[in-house]
Amino acid sequence: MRDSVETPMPPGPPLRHEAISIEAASSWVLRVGVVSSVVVMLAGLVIGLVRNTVSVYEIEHRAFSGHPTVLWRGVTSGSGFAIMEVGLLLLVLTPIVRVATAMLLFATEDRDWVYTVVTFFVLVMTLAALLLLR
Amino acid sequence: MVRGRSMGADAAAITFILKVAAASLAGGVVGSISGLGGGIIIVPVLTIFLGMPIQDAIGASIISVIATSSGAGSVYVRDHITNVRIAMFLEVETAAGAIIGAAVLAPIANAQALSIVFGLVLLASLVPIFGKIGEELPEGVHNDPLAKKLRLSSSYFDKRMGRQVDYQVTGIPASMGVMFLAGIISGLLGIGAGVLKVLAHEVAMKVPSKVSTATSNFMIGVTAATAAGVYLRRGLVLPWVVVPVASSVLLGAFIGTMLMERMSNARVRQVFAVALAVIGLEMLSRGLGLPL
Repeated sequence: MRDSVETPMPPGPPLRHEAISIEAASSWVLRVGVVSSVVVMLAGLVIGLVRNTVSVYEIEHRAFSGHPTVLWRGVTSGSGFAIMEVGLLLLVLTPIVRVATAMLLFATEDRDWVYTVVTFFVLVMTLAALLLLR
Repeated sequence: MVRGRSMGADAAAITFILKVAAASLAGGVVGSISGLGGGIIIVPVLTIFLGMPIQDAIGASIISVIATSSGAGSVYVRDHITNVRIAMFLEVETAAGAIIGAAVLAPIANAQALSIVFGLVLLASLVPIFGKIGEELPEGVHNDPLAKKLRLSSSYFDKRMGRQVDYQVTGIPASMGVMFLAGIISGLLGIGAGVLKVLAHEVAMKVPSKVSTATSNFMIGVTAATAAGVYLRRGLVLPWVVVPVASSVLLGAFIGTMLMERMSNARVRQVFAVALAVIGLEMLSRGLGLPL
């Protein structure tokens, strides 16, 4: 945060500082996103196989629905399928959060409006695909 | 409901999931050793060997691609090899292409058409294994006006050469076109289309090949996530299939990377490429309805 206009620039070239922070933040988001989504997906798979009735027919035909209230009811009642759906959402959201993070850093750290707009376009398309398109 | 009477999965279901997981593990290993990525191998494995409809295989593949590319992408970007600006700028094109491929073309393509296009893309992807398409360190490249405006030139530290490598970037309009096409292929076939991305980076933009690989991996996650959003909403993602596929492909990719460090890779890649050529021809012949 910039608390005062008089604050002197931090030592070192500012471009370098900006580049490091976007790269470090992206790496962190990707790592945490992949690890947590795989853990949740596998937990859902194991819980589902042990606790729920599963047939080959269900495996081959039951699709991701992703309706928020259905998903929430499923997770709270311990449905392995619903937990897998949450894990899938986490995985799909991982690159999207990576783009959102970069957009915020371009806007706040570097004040690079060209790249803020570029990443904003990417973010809008990824979210539109997830929320609007079929 | 019959929950109380038969808790847990039946034996056939468990067997099915184990088969899917084993095939995906092998696919992940081959994908990582051949350098093609998981998706382009997983789709034929699930359709040819497990008899799955190609649309379901594509739905499973596109999710796995997010996992593997994000895993690899996080390492490259941490090591400062990825060119984040190039990635962000070209993600606009690949994401737009992915939407066209997944939401416009995929719904009107039947299984035969998908098999044919898939076979052709798989065969085309093998070309760089036999002949290098780009250069390790291109010489005499100068920023084109757009690259200058977007400040795309950069540098990375090359571990093998032990020095900092500065590079400039050219051919932005051409690479935008190729990236748009890569996005369409990605959305239509559920693969990362890494070969087209590398083509755009190395042939059109002339960036060093290490930067190209790292930047492609970084971008593939966003392209795949965009396509995956459409597949999730179209009801083409089957969690019972996708979860074993994605986690096994990821594990396979890790194993493949470790194996690569012990093997001389050029020869190994060519051996895999011959096997993949057979699979590509099989996909093609299935699409065309020919016996093979």
